Amino acid sequence: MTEPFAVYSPAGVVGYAFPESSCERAMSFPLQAVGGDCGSTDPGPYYLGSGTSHVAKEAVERDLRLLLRGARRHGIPLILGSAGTAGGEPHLEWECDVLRDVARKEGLHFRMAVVHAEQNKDYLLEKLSDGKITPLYGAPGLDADTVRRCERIVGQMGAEPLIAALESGAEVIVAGRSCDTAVFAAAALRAGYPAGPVWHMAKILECGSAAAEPKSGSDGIIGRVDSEGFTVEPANLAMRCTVERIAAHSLYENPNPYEMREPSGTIDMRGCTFSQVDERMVRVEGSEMRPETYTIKLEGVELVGYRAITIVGIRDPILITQLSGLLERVRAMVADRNLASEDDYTITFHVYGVNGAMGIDEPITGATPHEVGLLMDVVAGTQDLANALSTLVRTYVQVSDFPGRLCIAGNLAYPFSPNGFEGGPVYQFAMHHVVEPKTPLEMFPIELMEV
Amino acid sequence: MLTLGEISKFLRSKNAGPFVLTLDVILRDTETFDVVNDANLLTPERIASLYGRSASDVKVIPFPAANAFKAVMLRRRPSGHVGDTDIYGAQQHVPLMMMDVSEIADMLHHD
Repeated sequence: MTEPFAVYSPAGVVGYAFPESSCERAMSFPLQAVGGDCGSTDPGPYYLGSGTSHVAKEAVERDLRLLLRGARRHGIPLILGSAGTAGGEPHLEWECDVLRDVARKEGLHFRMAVVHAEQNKDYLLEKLSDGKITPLYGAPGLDADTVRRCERIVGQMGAEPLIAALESGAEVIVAGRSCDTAVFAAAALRAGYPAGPVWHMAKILECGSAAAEPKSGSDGIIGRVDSEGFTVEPANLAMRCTVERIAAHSLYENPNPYEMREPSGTIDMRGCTFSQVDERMVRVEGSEMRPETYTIKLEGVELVGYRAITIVGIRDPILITQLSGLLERVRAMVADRNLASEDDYTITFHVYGVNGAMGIDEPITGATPHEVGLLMDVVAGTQDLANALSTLVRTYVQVSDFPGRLCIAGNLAYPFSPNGFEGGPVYQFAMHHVVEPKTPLEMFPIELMEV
Repeated sequence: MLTLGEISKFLRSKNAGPFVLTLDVILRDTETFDVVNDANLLTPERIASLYGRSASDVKVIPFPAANAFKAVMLRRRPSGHVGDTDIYGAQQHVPLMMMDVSEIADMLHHD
C-alpha cells in the first residue's frame, strides 16, 4: 500500500455533461478506479415512482462514452451507482441499455456486473414484523399496508456488493441505488486502503467539483488515498480545491457536519486536519471510520394521484390585491359542482411574486407586486379527473368577478395553447427508513455478463 | 440594520434527504464567526422564530472548521408532497439571510 490509490469522479451526476478536457486531464494521470454517481433523491419522488431518469439519454450516452473509453484504456474498473437516477429495476435496465449501446458503438468488450437494488416486499414485510426496520428522522410511520402500497422500494447498497462484483472479475459495474460514497470507496477498500480516509474521500468525490472553486457540480475531482490520508484536486486545471471549501464540504446535504453514517459505520471527521498541498490540491488526515450495526437505507414511494397544471400571469392591480379571496371562492365553487368528492382531489395555488417559493414561511407580507405568476396545481385520482377539474379551476379563476373589477373580459394572461398541461402520475415518499439485513449482500443480487 | 447575509460568505438551504431541511451559514471569516458564536446569536429559539417552528424542532450545530453554523429542521412537507413549493429546498434561506444582527455590528471590523 505504498502507492496512492487514485479515483476519478467526473461530475456530481453522470449525465450533466462534464467537460471533455477535464476528463482527458484526469485520464492522463495514473488512476486505479473511475466512479460515477448516476442518481439522487434530490429531484423528488417522481423518478423512483415512474421508473424514469432525471437526466437525458443523450447526455448520459456522451458521458458514458468518455468514461468507458478512458477506463478501458487504463484497464481499471468503472463503477456506476444509483443507475437511472433512482436505481430501481427500470432505471437499471435503462442505464445498462445506454452503456451496452456505447460499448457496441466503441467496439469495447468487458465483463460487466449488474447489481440490483429494488427490494422485494415480502422480504421487507418480514423485516418489519421482526422489528428490523426503523424510521430515519422525519420519516412517516410505517406499517405493512404502507409497504404494500409503495410503487417501488429501493435500498442504498454499501460497498460490499460492489467489492464482491470486483472480486468476480467485473471490469464495469452498473449498480442500482447505492450510497453515493460506496461507488467511490469500493475499489480502494478492496485494495486494502484504510476505511476512514477512503470513505471521507468518497464523500467529497461523490459531489464532483461542487467542493472546488469556482463552484460547479458538473465537473470532476481526482482523489488519491494512501495509508495516512488523502488528497483531492479538481480535474479541471482552471479550478482549485481550498482547505476552506473541503473543510466546509461535510456541511453539504448533511444533518451533522462531524459525522456521516454509512451502512457499515460512521465516518468521524472531528479529528481531521486539512492542509493546502499546492494552490489547487488539499490534503486531509485524521478521518476515522467507527463500525456500527450494519443498516441499509430504504427509499419508497407511493402513487397518490395524477396532476394537471395551468400557468398564467396576472397583471390587473385590483385583482392582485384580492387574489387570495378569489382563489378561495374558486375552491368552493369547484367543490360545489360535485364532479368528484373533495377527498378525491386537491387544488394548490402557487402565487409567484407573493409567496410561491416559500409558502407560509415567506417573511415578506403586505408587499404588492405589479404582476404575479399563478400556478394552479390539481392532483386527482385519475388523469381524466385531474384534467377536468383543472379546466374548471382555471376557467373559474379566469371569469370570476371581484369587487371593483374593470377587466371584465378575463383575469388571466395565458402564455400557451393548450392552456394547461398534464403532469402525469404523482408520487410521494412513503418510506425513509433503515433496515438491518443479516448480510451486506442479501438485498443486492449480482449478475455477471460478458459485453 | 446589519443582516446575517451581509456578514456571510455563503448562506444556503438544502434538503438532507426528502424530509429534512438544512441551513448553512458560512461566515465571512474566523473573526466574524467568533463574534457570532460568543454572542450566541444563532440559537434554536431565534432560528425557529424566523421559520415559524418551535425551538425544540430546530437543531443548531456550530462548525468552527468552516466558520459555519448548521441549522436542521423538518421540512414543512416532504419533498414532492402535494403542496410542496421547493423540491430541492434550495430557496428557503432568506429569513435567515435577513436576520437582524445589528447588536454585534460594533464588534466587527468592516472592510
